[in-house]
Amino acid sequence: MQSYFFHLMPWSDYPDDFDEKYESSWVTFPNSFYDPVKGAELYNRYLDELEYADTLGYDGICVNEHHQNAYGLMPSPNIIAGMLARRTKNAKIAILGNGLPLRSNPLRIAEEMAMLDVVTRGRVISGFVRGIGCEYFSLDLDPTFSRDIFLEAHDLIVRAWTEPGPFEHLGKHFQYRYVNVWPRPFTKPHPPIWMPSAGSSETIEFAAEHKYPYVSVFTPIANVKRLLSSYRTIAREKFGYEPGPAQLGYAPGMYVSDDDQRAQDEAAEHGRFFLSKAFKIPPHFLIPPGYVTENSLRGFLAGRFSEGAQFPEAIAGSPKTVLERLIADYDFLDGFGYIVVGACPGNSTHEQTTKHMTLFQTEVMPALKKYHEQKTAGRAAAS
Amino acid sequence: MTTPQERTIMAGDYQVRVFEAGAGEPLLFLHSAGGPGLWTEGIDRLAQHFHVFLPDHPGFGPSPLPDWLTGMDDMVFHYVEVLEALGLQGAVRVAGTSFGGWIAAELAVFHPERVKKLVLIDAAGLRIPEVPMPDIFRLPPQDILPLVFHDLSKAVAVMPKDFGIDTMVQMFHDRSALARLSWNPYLHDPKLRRRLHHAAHIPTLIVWGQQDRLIPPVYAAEYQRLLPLSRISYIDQCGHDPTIEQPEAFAQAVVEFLR
Repeated sequence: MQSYFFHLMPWSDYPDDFDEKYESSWVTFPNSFYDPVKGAELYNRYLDELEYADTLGYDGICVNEHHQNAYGLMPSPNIIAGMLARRTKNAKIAILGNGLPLRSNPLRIAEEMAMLDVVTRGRVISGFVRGIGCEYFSLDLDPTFSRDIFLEAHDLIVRAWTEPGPFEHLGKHFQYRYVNVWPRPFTKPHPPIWMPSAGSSETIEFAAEHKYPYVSVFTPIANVKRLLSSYRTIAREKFGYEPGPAQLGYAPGMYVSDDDQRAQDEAAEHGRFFLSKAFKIPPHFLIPPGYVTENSLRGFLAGRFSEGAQFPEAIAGSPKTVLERLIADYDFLDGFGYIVVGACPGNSTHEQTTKHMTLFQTEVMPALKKYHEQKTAGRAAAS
Repeated sequence: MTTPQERTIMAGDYQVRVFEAGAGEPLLFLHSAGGPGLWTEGIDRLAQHFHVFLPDHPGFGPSPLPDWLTGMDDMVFHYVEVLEALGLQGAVRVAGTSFGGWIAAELAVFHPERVKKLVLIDAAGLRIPEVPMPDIFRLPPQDILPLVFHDLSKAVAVMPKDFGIDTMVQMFHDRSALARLSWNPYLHDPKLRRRLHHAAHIPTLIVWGQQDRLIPPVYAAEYQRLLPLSRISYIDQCGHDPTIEQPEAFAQAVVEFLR
């Protein structure tokens, strides 16, 4: 069981009339609300928190990519990863992920990830994503080829990492006369690829086919169960293997503090902020035309009509309470091999965040790890 | 109103649904982004004078969004094949509304020999930097309607019967096809302006709703400036689609021109 500490690097200050006046913190929320002096403070604080996660013994620290928004200020996750590369010692640096269709030249991603992998002597995880729908407004990219470009860029990057160059690539979206990436990655055959996802069935199948670790984010636990089972079933029935725990991740909304009352009060405050500000995204921003398959849209609409737009409830409490909940979730999900722990939303303090991440790693994680080891040993013995 | 005949043709290897009605000289009518299979009253009035063909654009209505469709050049080649499949030789009357008007203009530019007379109705295709068009991709349907209709009560006739999952998926499907060709650059082709003179000799009527808030009437004047032999017929009390909102005034102007 591995633990990963994930930072969104959120913006903290919204105008008082945000709720009435602005449709979203994405795409159109004016960047005049960004204050670079405050921004410098936040970037450095957030980097401190990620570095601190390394000293606490998290197995990995995670960054991601979003554009033109107040939700998360890492338009270039590889730059943040570069800053962390020489300031951290042991943790894997997981970029979750690079938005493949968001870069016009996928070889730039192959190069940058290889650089990070070599400098860190193999401490990077290369997540690949498509970017959320808003990205296609913010960068003005045709959403209808998003999946197609993702798949071609993925294949090209893996080839560029693993096959001797120079070679030619004649694809539908990309053509190269000379694919010949320097440096080559440190990790053989290439840095691990992860697939964070919002739950589309096509992504699960792709991840299962390639044995890529899969984790769904912002997903109610009932859906997480459905998605992880679907991964296991597809791996078994379509690709003929049994996925190991390392392939299946869990990313619950979670907040740990000294005692239940305090944790729940603070988590409620964080949750309100997150949902009403950072995550205020109207459906037309989230799902631009052609961004999902009609099959996925059908599933999404059916889910929305039946449950309403549900957001998963956060697990908040003392280390003891959180551990109990996670063990229950572990059993409900038939196990998972890694857990992604989020940093707190933009209205949290540095003290709250460091307390949360410390309590999790020092008081929750050891017991969860032990539980996982007992379970997997038991399973191995039974089979 | 007439009930048009529906049939399927093959344009190259691609299947196209076509609605048709009327007799006499053929008229290829290219629908707006919201109108695959929508036989409007204005179109119906044209069919009292011409043999009107109303095909679905690729990716609209029941047709899948094809991989080969990545730009207006593909669309133009497709329509050359549609004309062939319909057995329409030589120069043909071509009219188009909004997105369909843009296709009509591109067809006239690339293949002026295939266009006998051209009708551009509240056509997309151009961009005047000082006069932005609202971004319909970031608006929910209820906010798009007031941009399209001057008199919202006229929208009722063309509204879907319900907003269930099937309707929403179909709308998403049509909007995806529109996005493929008009997400970026938004609803226009930067090259069209420089190319339009290739169609300047084709008799052209520009028809525009005076109260079009999606593509304002100043765009009619811009098309007219680039096609100096054309003339404009503005239609009052009318939004973005005169074939729905002012079918009588629309048909009067167009029939007279196309005769």
